[in-house]
Amino acid sequence: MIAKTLQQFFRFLFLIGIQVILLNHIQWSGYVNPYVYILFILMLPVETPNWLLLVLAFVTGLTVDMFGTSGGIHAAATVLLAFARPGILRLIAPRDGYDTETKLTPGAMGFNWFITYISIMVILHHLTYFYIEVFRFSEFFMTFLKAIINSIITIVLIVIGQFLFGRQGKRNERIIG
Amino acid sequence: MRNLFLFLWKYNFFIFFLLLEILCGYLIVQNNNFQRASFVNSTNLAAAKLNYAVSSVTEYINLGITNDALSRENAGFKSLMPEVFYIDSAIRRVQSDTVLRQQYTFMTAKVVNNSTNRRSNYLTLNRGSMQGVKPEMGVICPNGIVGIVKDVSDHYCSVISFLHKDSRFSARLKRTSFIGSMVWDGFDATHGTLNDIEKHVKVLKGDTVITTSFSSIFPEGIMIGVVDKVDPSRGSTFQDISIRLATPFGSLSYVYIVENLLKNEQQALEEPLKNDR
Repeated sequence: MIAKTLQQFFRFLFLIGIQVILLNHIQWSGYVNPYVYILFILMLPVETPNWLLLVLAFVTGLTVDMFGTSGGIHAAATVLLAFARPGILRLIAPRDGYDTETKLTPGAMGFNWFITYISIMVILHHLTYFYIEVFRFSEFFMTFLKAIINSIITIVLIVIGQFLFGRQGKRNERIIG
Repeated sequence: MRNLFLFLWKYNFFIFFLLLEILCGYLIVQNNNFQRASFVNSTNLAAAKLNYAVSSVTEYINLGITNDALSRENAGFKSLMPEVFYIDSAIRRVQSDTVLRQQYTFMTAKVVNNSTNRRSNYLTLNRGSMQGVKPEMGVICPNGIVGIVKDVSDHYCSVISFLHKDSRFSARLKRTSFIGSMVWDGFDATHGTLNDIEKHVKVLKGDTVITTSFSSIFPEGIMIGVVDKVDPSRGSTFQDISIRLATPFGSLSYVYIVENLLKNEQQALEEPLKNDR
């Protein structure tokens, strides 16, 4: 239990670090700003209670807000993401549901399932974030384009990250299979 | 009463979600409000320290560009030194303090955090209330304007960049001295748009755009940029003018905070007129 909590805590530190030190400082073309830190909320265990999900999402969003002077925009988007998570997990559940010990990794859940899950969540988060940030409809299509481009970049970064760091899930698969 | 508790318990997830979102909404509104200080900002110590560490790395990468800008500025100052002037007149000019009253002071500051990739961008500088920084002071760099101070902590201040969805600076075409307002359309960190210039005004590519003293924030004549593209063919009385910004927002390292010592006087005089509109 403690080991698992520690693992989540280190993932939180790692993702926030990547986001704040590296990704927030991409000054290229004004379009590219992926938000990879939301992976922390996406990868929380299935059995995480709903209230804890909301609290963790709020804290995560607020931390990123503090480093980026964005008020509470990240917090608002991540809380919405956490609210949507149980419903979306139910929507795309595999035939025999989730075990309490299942990890939400491509190794444990299958690559197609993982891509579907990540894509829905990332697009949801990015649309929310960019529309709150702009907060006017006069730039509707530009904002939409921005959200979609950045969603794609975030998804690609997450998938690359899974190939680099996601060894644990694969080992489990070998044990199961 | 029991039913109420049952209802709350049944929908606890949704109600908790709503409460958190309302809190977020409050924080966002608080942050967008220029007059009030915001809670969640990068002037808090932990965030500022980390951003400072990151900027010390990026600063090193941009060293060449910074050096360039500084040496160019130095050359400008050198040409203003008293010994480079040949005095034509035989009469010596006497300068008296009662005639020349200082209006602007400049304070150098280091950029600790900066962004150009969002719709609303902010900077953090390593000067704060301890050094006398107050909200709504102007910020400029050797090349041009940068933004306006927003929040101030003891040692840091956050600055609303010109690259912000609500920024609107009064600007003047130097050649024809017509006045418009500069805004940023969110596309490109190197270009802005000059609005409110009527169609009859002849604008040429390469015309210089400078600040006015209308806002009482910037001194008159600070560089904003040059005209890049003029598009008069639009169904309005104004032209569409794209401005290439003089400020390299992507590689800012050192900036100046400008204080207008006569600002209160100007604002106090203009205050009663605002209600007249």
